[in-house]
Amino acid sequence: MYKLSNEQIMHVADLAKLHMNDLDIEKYRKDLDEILNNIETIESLNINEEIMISPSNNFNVFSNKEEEDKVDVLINVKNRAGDFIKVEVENE
Amino acid sequence: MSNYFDLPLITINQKLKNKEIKPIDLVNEAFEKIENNMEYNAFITLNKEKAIKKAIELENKEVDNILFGIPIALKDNIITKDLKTTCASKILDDFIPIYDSTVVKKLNKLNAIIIGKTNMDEFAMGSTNETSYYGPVLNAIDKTKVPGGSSGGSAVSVALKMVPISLGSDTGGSIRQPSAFNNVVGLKPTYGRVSRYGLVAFSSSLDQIGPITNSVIDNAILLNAISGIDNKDLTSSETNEDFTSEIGKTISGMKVCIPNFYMSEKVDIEIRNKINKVINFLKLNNVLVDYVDINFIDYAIPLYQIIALAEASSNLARFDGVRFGYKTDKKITNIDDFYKYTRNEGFGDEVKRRIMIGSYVLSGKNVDIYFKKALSIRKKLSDNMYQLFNHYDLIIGPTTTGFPYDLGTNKSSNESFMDDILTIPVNMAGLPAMSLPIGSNKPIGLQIIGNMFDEKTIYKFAAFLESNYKRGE
Repeated sequence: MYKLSNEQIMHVADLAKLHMNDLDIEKYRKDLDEILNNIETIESLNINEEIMISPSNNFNVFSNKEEEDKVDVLINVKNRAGDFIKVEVENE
Repeated sequence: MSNYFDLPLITINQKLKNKEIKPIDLVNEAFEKIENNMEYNAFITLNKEKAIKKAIELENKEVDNILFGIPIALKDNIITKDLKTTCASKILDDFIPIYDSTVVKKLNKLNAIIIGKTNMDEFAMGSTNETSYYGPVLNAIDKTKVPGGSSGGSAVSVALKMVPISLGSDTGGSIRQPSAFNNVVGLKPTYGRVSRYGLVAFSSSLDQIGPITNSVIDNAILLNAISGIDNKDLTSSETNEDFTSEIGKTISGMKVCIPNFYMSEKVDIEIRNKINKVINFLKLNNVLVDYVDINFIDYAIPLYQIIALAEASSNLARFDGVRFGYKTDKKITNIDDFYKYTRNEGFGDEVKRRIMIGSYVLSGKNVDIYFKKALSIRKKLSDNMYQLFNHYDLIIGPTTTGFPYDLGTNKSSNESFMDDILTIPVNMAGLPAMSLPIGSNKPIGLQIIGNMFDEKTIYKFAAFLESNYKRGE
């Protein structure tokens, strides 16, 4: 029965940029374990040949830069200072 | 109250051309029906003011195509300029996009009228529409049951004729499964058939936008409108087809196969019995029906849990509170905590679970152990499915293993993936597939899977069944 340790769950949460405390770990542990157990069923398969990244057979193309309407891309920024984005950090 | 949405698009179009009705009549019908059906919670945002304005503007324009003046609902992961787009998540609760997705641009050019954005599972992650930040959607046939997901709102709004047509998205069955649960026609097009530009990405190698309608021909008409190559989506392909062109033709002489996996004991006996009745009908109509095995199809769910969740963990990294969306109020001392608190507070539980699994299978040595290996199995499974089309025109079977279950059943996350066990393999291979309603007193979907870019044959087959197969038998 595979089980992630607390450290492993904290590490994964860190990779995923999710805040995690001890209560959260217990909340998610059971579900994560179940899914990981299911994922591990592929370990028995001995296949490591050609991979399929996508069903599309299109090749990458480089297109000419198109003239786009100028849109204010910062319009959805909560904390804006002109053309900059403010991220407020407290001094420790 | 009018009931123009009971009519086929072709008939509504005629009435508009004859000036029997005006676009405003259709818009009024949509909003009246929505207001009478609020309890179903099918919509997150309504576009009432602009829809009415557009309908009035259209009175002076020529009815130049079949979608002219037609009300349509869009799943809320399809970006609409100046119209709130939330993906049913707190993290986008106040997000107003600054551009239109390609499908919306196409619909606007044809003068279809966007009525609103439909409710869905958060970031398309789920199969019951219960993970939405805005509450669950109710099944159109039985209010105590789940509508399916993640395109629950899109399926229910069409089933209850709040709108005649809608768009959903499908990554592992999210159009087909709710279509089956609500007795509507839903198609996941071939991967690359419809541009994904403006579809908020969940799993980029699996996602497709697709039409949900009450009839096969309306479904084909809508696919005509939204498909085509787009230089903003390099996975999209050219289309010069009329998807309605084979509708009305006989299916005599066609060859179909059913994977034994689709008729196993995992599938409810009532559903299997119904499929057997369809098979008898097909044989009476001179269709060859064979049973086949597909190697690796039973690994569909672990493949999905690896590939879809890995891709999702990457795609959802952009939601960090900096450039748009929800941000934490907590006092933070470093940017890392800013991201972590924002995402922890903004995302729902299922989304967080999936991002964690996805991050796990992409970390360090796990990339080889899980992710790359999953991609190899995906290739094998897909090739096995493609090869069937050397001998058969279509693959058929049930869309779901069971019937809509009670809201609040509270299945575990792992168990919930099982809802999509028959639909996931199709996304893995990128094939097109439809769910066609074939049940009478209970909702049952027949899944019709076609070869790459062969939606026309699906429509031909489905239309014949729709016209000739008696669902009550």
